[in-house]
Amino acid sequence: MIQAVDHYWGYKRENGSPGIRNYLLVLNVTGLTEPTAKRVHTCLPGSVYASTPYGMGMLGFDAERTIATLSGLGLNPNVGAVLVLSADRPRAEAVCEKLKEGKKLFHAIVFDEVEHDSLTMTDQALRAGALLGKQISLQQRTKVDIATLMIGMECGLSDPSSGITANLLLGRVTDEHIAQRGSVVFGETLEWLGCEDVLVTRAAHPELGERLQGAVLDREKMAQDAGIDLNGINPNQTNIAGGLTTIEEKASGSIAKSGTVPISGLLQFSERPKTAGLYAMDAPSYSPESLTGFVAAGAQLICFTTGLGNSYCSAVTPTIKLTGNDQTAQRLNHQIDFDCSAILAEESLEAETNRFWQEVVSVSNGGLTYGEILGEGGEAISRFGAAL
Amino acid sequence: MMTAMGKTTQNSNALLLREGDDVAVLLADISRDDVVTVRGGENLQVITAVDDIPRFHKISLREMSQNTEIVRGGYKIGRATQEISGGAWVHTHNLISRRAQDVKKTQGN
Repeated sequence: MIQAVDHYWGYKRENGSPGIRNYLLVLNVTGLTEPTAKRVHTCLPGSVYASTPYGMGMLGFDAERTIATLSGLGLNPNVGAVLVLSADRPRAEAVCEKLKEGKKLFHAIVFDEVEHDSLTMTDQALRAGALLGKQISLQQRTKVDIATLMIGMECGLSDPSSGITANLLLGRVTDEHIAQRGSVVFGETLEWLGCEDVLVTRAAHPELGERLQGAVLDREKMAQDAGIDLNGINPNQTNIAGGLTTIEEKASGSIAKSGTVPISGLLQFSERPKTAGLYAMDAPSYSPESLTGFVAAGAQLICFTTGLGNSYCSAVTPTIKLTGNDQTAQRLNHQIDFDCSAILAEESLEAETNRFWQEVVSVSNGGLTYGEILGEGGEAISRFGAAL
Repeated sequence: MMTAMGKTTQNSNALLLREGDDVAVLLADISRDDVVTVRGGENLQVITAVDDIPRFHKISLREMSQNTEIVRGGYKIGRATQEISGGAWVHTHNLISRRAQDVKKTQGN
């Protein structure tokens, strides 16, 4: 377990952990202002963009999670300042309240103050964005403890190489990062199905074990109630053609990226953990939603394994793409950031893990992923119910 | 040049994830009657394939009776639906998810 990495160069924040980027985030919080927000984002080339196409009429837990996720995206350490656009004043205020608590620099514009004129909103947003962009650009990187990194672990379009190479590598990274008091979050609840008994044994306390099992069974029931044959969708046809036979097999390969250390807690979608440690997030498996959950919870970096290819990244959080499939790495050489197929030479798993830590530090210090360069990033906020 | 095969295992074409596993993962497409050399365990294992098996798919390392719970990487991954001979391709035609089976039983199918 040798990796002499104990720091990176990040952007300190007034509240919370440092960021590895220093973005101006155009945060659109209602569907009515989405076209305006896209226009504003396009005219602020250095900005990143996150939005919900939904708005009023959301109820209960669904509404609460949207507000929490929007706020969480704004509070992510990679964000230097937030431009909040909204057609609804109470919603804007709910999000801005959280940004204030988190001491995050922001400017909000609501439709009622521009007399519902999207062009006036555009004008004001560009001017406010210009000032914010200038202000945050003055901040410099400083040396910060590697333990301040929260790393999200994700897999997409796995194939059998994933479970024996890239996910195993991330498992070692998880174990090593937790040992150095860092934080890791993994999700994709349905992918735990088949190996949830193993997760339960790793729970920090028995009540957590019950909740982990409950999360998996609830997700399974959700599928059954919808008439879905789980063996039909997970593993899917591509997985099966690639050699994965059963849910259990796929789960064991997927869970490998969570390492072997104890699990400290189970988070809701986009819930921010209160202490360092390894966290499971109960959330959809689909990458756009899964990643947004991690990012809203505070993940500054995401490590995303793929067997056959997956171009999608978070917009707010740099997403390192790695594969253990050498054919994929060669074919998708402008998508894959890290080729760990050398792990298939058993002797080099430790060496490849150490080499990957160098990649982690490099990206944390400002080295761009292909996803960032090519603009493959987005954010998707999960829904939890119907609206009025 | 360091190849993906490693310094002592130039001719191996399958990987054992954990000692005691019932199956190994192939690192290359193989044909029926090919000799498969499995590394990753304490000792190198050698077995002859009785099927054509694609890369990354599983080869059985021993004879298994119907209903055997098959282990890969230390995890139970399902049950054999029929007798499986050593060197056989292990996949959807002879391996079923125990979880899926249990769910069907609960639903009364």
